[in-house]
Amino acid sequence: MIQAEIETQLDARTRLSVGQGEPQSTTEKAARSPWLYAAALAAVYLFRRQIFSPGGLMFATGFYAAKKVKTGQLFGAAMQGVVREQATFTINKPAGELYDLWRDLEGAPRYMESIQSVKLTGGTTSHWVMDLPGGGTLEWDSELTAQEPGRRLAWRSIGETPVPSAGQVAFEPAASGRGTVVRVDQEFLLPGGKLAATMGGLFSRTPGGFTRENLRHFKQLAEAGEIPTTKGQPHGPRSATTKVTQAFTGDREQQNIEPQTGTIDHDIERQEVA
Amino acid sequence: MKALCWMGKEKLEVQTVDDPRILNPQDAIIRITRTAICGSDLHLYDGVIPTMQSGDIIGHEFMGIVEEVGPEVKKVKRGDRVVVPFTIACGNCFFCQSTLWSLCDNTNPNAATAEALYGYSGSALYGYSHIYGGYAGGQAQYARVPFADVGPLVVNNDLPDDKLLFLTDIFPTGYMGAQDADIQEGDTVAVWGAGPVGIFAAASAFMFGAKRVIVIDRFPERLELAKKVGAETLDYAKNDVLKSLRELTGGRGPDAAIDAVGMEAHGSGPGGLYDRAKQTLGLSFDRPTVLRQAILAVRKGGTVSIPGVYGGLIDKIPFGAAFGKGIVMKMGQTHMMRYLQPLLERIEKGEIDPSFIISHRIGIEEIPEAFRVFRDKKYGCTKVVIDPWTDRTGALVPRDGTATQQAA
Repeated sequence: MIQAEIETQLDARTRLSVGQGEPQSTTEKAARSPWLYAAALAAVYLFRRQIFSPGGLMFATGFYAAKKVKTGQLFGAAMQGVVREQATFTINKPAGELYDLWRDLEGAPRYMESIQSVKLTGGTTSHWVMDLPGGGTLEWDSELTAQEPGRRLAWRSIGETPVPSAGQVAFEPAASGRGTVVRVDQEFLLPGGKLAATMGGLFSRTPGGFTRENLRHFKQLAEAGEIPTTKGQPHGPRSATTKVTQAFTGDREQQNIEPQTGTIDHDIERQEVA
Repeated sequence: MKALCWMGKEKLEVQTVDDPRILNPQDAIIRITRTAICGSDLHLYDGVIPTMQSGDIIGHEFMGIVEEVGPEVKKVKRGDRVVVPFTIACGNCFFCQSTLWSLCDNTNPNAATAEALYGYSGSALYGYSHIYGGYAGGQAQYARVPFADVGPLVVNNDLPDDKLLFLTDIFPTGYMGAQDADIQEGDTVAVWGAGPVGIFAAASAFMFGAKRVIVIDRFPERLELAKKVGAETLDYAKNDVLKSLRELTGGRGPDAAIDAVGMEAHGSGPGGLYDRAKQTLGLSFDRPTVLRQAILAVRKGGTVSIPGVYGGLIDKIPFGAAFGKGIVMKMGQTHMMRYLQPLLERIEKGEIDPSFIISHRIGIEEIPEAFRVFRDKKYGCTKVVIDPWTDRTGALVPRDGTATQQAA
């Protein structure tokens, strides 16, 4: 049966508890300072102003209004708790096939952005390495908390990790046999909470963006056999403005793909000339 | 290779760039033998399509010879002569399998951007802004063609490129514009815009059984083309369009109205100035003069079909009239793969020779100037085709400085 409720809860064994992420180090405390985010937002605004002036104006107005409110109240709520994300796509393939594709965890880097590698470390455990924007990596161990073939997989991070996370993917046949409804629920315990998540979106993706785009790539791989890209295609000179635009909106939205060939073999042309 | 790069509003440059490479297993590389400027490229030239980036290679009407194929390409092979449709489709998603090819789920790498603006993303297009995928286009010597077994039509005849090239976009687009108009035997159809899409829509309307087709434009050479396909013409600069259409249809209005103009209509009067001012100020992308007229002009219960391109938000649309008259509206990018084979057969049988709309044949270095000529409708310009392996033909500007029409 198709889920009627929009919000899905992770099961008790998988989901994260809110108390898990009290600030520990100075860095973590700094990451929870609203002023850090206000300053970064202001910097981003100034950077972007030339490109999106109406939006910038609205932002400036919002920022001014926000300053009028007691800062702690405004940011306090946004900086607590677990960040929950959900994404749903209908995929034109049977549930069993999709379950198997997802269950092949070591294949995840094919469709999950920034995931450099996944190594199985046991029957239900695996080690994940993720590339971070601006160099560096984030590593964590993960364990499967539920395996229901053709229906559901759930997982959570285990051991010490800066970003505890948990999630599940559910596969349900769509109405009238029109493919499979695939829903991913993920939880992240980010230093800085929802505000940090939003800020992250300005430089990389938000956790919600990752959840959604990774599922989209999964769909593309399952249905079309490849993930569309334009990375590595030719283009003319890019202006400074375009480079700024790309930094915020452009190429980070695409998978990195190694070109499969060198330059064109011009045989046909040569034959015609000869 | 040489390629036409969009460097900003009204700023195009032919640059030497890297050759394209196979990036995905179902890609092919095409050596382009003919390409063309589409009326919708003028929206890029005028800077009214959002999410263009300087350096983008544009152009989406091209054909050529397959140079190289990726490891998962099974049908198309090196040396094949192919016509490349302007929409990119995967062939396997719900939409492709429902023949809604231009709504393919899986070809736009920037689908998230498109979703932010449109709710859901359609298929990617060649050389037509990043919201439509950001793929390098075909006003170049080579192009990378993804999903090579799904899109390109392999041609096994010795017809010249000029007769086949318009299968890439404007002939199917005009044809779908007429099909969407739901024409019944004996209908009267009004077509706004005597550009290539409008002309092909008019010609196709007759194929669907229209008795009369009335084409609305103001440029004499374009209205001449409309007459060539058997249409009546209405000069909107000299006549009140709504009043004339009412008179021409015995007071009832045309059974179907086709907007083959889109977002940059040349509106007149206060409404036209209002739209232009808003577009200039960036408050609105589109100038919907034609759409307004089409809704008001079509008969009660009639159909408005919109092959003309719209990009963003429009206002002052007489939606009350659309509702009150109970009209049907159909629109969208062309579902190209439905039409390639049937329309190729019509060309092969000699039922239509689409090359009659060509006014100019040029080389690659002449493209930037050709955009200006085409946009300003100078020198009788109705359609420009390009041999990307020739630098210049000198045919763009007539030597005696007067308007000339090249023999088709």
